[in-house]
Amino acid sequence: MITVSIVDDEKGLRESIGKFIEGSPGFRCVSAYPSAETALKHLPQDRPDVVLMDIHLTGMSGIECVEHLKTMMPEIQVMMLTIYEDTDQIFRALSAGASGYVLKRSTPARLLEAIKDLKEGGSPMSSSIARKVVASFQTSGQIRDDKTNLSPREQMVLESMAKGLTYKQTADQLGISIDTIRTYVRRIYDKLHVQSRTEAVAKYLQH
Amino acid sequence: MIRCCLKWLLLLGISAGVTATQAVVLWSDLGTTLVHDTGAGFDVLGGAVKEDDASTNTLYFKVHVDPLSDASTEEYFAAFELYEGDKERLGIGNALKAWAYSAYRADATGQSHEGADYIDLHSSRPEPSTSGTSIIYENPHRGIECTIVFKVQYIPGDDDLVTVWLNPDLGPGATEAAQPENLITRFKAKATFNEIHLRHGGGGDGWIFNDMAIATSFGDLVAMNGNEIGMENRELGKGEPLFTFQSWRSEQGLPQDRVRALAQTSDGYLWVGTDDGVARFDGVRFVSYGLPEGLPSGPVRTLFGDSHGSLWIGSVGQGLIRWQGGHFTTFTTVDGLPSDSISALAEDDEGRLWIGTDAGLALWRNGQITSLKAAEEFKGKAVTALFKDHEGNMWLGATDAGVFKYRAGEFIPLADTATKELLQDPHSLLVDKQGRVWIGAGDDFVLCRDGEQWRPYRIPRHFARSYACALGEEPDGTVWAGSVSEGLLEFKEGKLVTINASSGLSDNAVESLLVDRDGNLWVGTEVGLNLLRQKNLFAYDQKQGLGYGAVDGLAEIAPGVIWAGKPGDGLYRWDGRNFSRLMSANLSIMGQQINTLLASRDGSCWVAGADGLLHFRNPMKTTDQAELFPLPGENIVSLCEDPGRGLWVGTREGQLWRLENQKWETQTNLLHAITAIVPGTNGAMWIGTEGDGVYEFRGGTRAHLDTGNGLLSDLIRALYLDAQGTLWIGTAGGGLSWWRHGHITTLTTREGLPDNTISEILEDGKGQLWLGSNRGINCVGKTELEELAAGKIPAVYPQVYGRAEGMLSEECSGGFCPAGLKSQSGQLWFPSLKGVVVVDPQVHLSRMPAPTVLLEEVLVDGVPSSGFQIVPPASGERTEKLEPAKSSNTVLKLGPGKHRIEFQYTSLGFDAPERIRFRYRLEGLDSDWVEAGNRRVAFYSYVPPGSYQFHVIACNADGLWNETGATLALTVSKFFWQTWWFLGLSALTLLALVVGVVRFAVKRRLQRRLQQLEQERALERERTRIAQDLHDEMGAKLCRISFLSEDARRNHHVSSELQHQIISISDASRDVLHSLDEIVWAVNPQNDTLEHVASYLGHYAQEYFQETGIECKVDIPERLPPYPLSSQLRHHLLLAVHEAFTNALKHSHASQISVFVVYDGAALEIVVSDNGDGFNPSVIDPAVADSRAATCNGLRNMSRRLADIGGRCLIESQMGRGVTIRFVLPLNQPVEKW
Repeated sequence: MITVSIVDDEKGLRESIGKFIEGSPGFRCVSAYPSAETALKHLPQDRPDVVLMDIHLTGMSGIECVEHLKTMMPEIQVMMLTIYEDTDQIFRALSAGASGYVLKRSTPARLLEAIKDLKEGGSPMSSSIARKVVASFQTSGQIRDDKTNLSPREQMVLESMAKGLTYKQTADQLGISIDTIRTYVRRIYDKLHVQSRTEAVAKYLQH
Repeated sequence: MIRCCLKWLLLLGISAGVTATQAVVLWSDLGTTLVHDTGAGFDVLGGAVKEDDASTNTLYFKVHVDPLSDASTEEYFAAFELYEGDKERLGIGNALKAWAYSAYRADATGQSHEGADYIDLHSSRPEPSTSGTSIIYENPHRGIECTIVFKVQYIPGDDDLVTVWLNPDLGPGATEAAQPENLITRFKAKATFNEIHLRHGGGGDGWIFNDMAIATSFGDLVAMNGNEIGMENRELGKGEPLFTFQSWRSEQGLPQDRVRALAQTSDGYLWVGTDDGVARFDGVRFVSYGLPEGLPSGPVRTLFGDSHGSLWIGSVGQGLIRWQGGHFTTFTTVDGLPSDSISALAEDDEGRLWIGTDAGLALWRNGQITSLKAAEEFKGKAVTALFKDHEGNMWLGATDAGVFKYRAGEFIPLADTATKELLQDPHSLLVDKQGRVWIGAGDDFVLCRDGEQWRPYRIPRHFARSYACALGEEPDGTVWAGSVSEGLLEFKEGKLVTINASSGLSDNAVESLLVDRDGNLWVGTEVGLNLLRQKNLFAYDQKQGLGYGAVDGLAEIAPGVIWAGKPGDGLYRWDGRNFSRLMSANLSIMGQQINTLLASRDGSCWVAGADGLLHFRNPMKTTDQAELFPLPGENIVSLCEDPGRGLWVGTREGQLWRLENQKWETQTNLLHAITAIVPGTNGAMWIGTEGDGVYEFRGGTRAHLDTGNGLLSDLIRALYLDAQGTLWIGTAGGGLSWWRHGHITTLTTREGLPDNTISEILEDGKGQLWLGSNRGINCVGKTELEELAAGKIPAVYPQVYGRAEGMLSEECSGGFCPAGLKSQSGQLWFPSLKGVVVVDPQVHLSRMPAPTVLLEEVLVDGVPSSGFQIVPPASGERTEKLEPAKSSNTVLKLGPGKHRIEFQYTSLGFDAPERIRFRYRLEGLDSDWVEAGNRRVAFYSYVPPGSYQFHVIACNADGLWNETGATLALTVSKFFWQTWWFLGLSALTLLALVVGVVRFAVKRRLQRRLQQLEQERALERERTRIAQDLHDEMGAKLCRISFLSEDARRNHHVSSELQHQIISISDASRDVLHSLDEIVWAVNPQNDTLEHVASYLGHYAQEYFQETGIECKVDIPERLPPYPLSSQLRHHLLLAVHEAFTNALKHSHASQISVFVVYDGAALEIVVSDNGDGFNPSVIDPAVADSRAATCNGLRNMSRRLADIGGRCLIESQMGRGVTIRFVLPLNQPVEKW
């Protein structure tokens, strides 16, 4: 059973998704919040497996919420929900700590799949995201340690994705399974998060 | 009886005495006497000679006659008449009834009855015959003088034998016996005399007798003719005027022809007073001053330059005017002058100006007119003359009062009983260096008081009033008088010589005389201004007996005796006064063709003609036998003696011969006429040919100089080897060349030679070359030629003698050798086409000082600058040390702008002003001296602003430079806009302006761009906002549909059909969302870079083919620059790509599709290729309505879309090989800068 929490400011949608997830076997929607503030208040108690977070929220943005959430509950998996694929926003969310994202307009089946992947440790990545990640790692700041450096494998995966290969194609190319790819991607995101957090801390410390 | 004997003895004794004393001149009167209407005349002998009836002497009489009455004024008689007491005996001259020169005898009673008994005298120059009758006598002609010599052999008790020679040969060596018959007249007459009267009566102006003598032998008269060896100037006609005049009339620039007064101011300028104002002369140019300058109009009577540098002008009726510092001040009776007509001016030692007027004397001092107490007696009288003598005493002459010397406050009159009347009518005064007082008095007298003695000179006149209006004294003591109708009179050594228009004076009516500071005599006449020049060029032709036509050969056979050869006319001899034809029997052998003559070292003379040579061993005795050396068939034109004993002979045929010991040795044949031979050094001979240059002939070997070596012409006319070893070569058409040290320099008309054909080269004693050419005779210094050869000067300025100096023909003949002659006395003889020309090079012996230089005027833009004045040196004396003419000490300042500046400078030298050369320089503008030649103006067409100094210097004909010259400082100010500060400021301003403009423009553009961008941004933001609003609004709701329908689907009570429908709904709604997503993406300005597009494309491709079964492979470059792509671009691009995808999906039946994005910096390329069916591009037919047509449309759409955004679409396909669609979008449009 995968427990899901939804944070979205659109009431109708929130209810639809909630109902849908509830109605899907193996999934349970434990809570739905209309804003980041209420979510942050209550999510520590809910302790869902996955949080579906809309990027655009009234009040505090979804990205900020993710940051706070990850600080409070580092092991929580956040899946960003977004209507359209704004690579910048998505990247920022990923840097903030989200582990994946899914478009609202995806088929509901896909949605479930994505949640399941996330629970199992994989992360989706599109080529655009990959490129941004590449760029980010290349231009990252002063503090570099093993925690943030990508391993050669991760590098290869990232590059392939940046090139536009799909998971399957990358897996074929590298001779590994798609699941492994997903795991790599997750690790890349984690490092990205760490890196960005480290940068933020550094920036904070500088000031 | 005894008385008779005694008488006889006495007579014998006397006659013995007389005859014992051979060769003696008993009486002579070399002076000039004019006789006119004398009646019986008066005795001139004064008892010097007499002969009576008992005499057995032989006397020779000579008289020279210049007839004024002549054949045109008949009837008249004029005679040199022998009188015995009051009885007439024999008259020689012109009888009343006779036309020709004649002698007349008196009858027994001593009456000639006007020469009733006359005999015409034979003449060797008879009147031209008419109608066959030969006339053997000569009529007197005015202007043609005549010498009459007659001999009387006294026979006691009978008529005496008279022999008359009319114009006999009185040259050296002339004898009575040798006289030609045709001028001898013999008759008998009673010629006893004790008086000689000079008489004239009847028509005409009389006769002038001079040079009269009585001697005992013919030889005395010959000797008297100045033919003794060693006498100076014997060649140049004694008795012939040695003067010539340089004249100026209105054609030469004289403002008005009538020169009424002359003066010289202390600065050196000559001033001329005319009928209307004055003119200033510097030797070249006249500058008039008259009414426009402030001078009252009217004739000028007298001029005077005082010691302070002013010019005083005495006018007729306008008062006294003073010219000082550039303006005129007038003094009239109002200021105290006794009269407004000023007749005389002088300055005394105290600096007072003495003013002689028509009504008395006045003095001027320090601007004030005062009167002299002692001059009261002259009140109302015309003071005609004033003079300050060498001791400083003042002399005064006044009409009806006399001539006075002012001493110690008193006027002491000159008195002389004999000339009392004349002294009451003085016209001019002069006291010479010797203290003699000269007075032009009365109508025709010049009185001279020497000590206590008075000597009256009567002016030989043709007019009633011929008084001497002016007197002058030359530095050598010669006193000159100017007569108002007779010209100039020269008083020298007690003789009076008239020099008038026949000598070149412009007119006989002399109005003024001036001897300037350099000793030149100026004569102002009614028609022109004249400068007396010593004549140094004499032309002899028919008038001197030379016959008509050209002369070629010339030789001096004895000092002063010249032989001249004329082609076709024989040989002539010059005796010092005339030429006479040599009648030698020997010449007839040779014929009349004389080519050239050579006077040999041994005193003999060679005459060359056609066919041979004639050798006169003793040329003085032409009657002697002459030896002929024939050279048949050859025309000898050149003769030369070599240092040995040989005579070199060159012929017209080109043959060169040598004659030694009377034997001909042929030397060579040069094939061209040999026109010149000169002996060279070391036994060589230089041969000049006509057409083949010059050869150096040395016993067979020859060096050659021709046009190849530097000569400009091969036609050689003359050769001359000078003492320095330079060979001078005169050519025909090639000018003068000289050869020295193997180098040839040539002088032609380009370098200043007047003519390029040089026929004679003669050197005088001063290192000057005199060249005979076709345009006169040119004199140029050898040093000048050296300078030309060295390149120091660009041209030479030879002194030219031509027709103006008296040559009858300017062409000198040549083509033979020797050509031209330098006589032992230094005179240079040139043969010409009309007679001979003799030049005396020693005339200008005095060393000319360096010339003064004055800056006369400065013209700025054609207008004389008012800020400039000539300041003459203060002292009246000219110092030896040349000070620069001080122009005003101030600097001439010119205003700004473009100015043409003309500096007019001059040099006050009257000797040879055309030979004064100038150099000038404007320091600050000219880098070096500008050679102006004899130009007297310096012209600058533009002088830029700045400070300058104009400096001009001059050199005279001898080459002596006045290095100080004249200077003038001048500045040209700048326009304010030319000054440095203005320029600097304006440059800076300009720069600032430019910068400002540029920056402004930049800013404007930037601003506009900014604005544009702003607008674009606003627009984009708007768009984005719209899109986003749309998306946000609709997106969520559509999502809801998706989830709701999913939920509905899950409801078990729903039929499968309904399920399908529900699925369709949810699919449809997701599609809508997808499209919306795309639109929003496209519009989002954040997605406007290449990077974004590429990655979106990749993602889009993957998504599109996700569920389709077609494997999609995407390849995007790792790094793409953030190149901006507009939304329009993205939109079209994406749609095109979408189209490609759709095609591939629907029609290709492909299993794989690849999407490559390529970026090469210049273009973006998106390659979509599938492995499907492909198609044949050529078979596409739009009409066919099937999938292909659709493909076709699609393809067309894609092309259009790409074209719209400036790219292109390339489609490659082959049947069965799939389709590759290439979208190329050039990205090299320059990023729009501001």
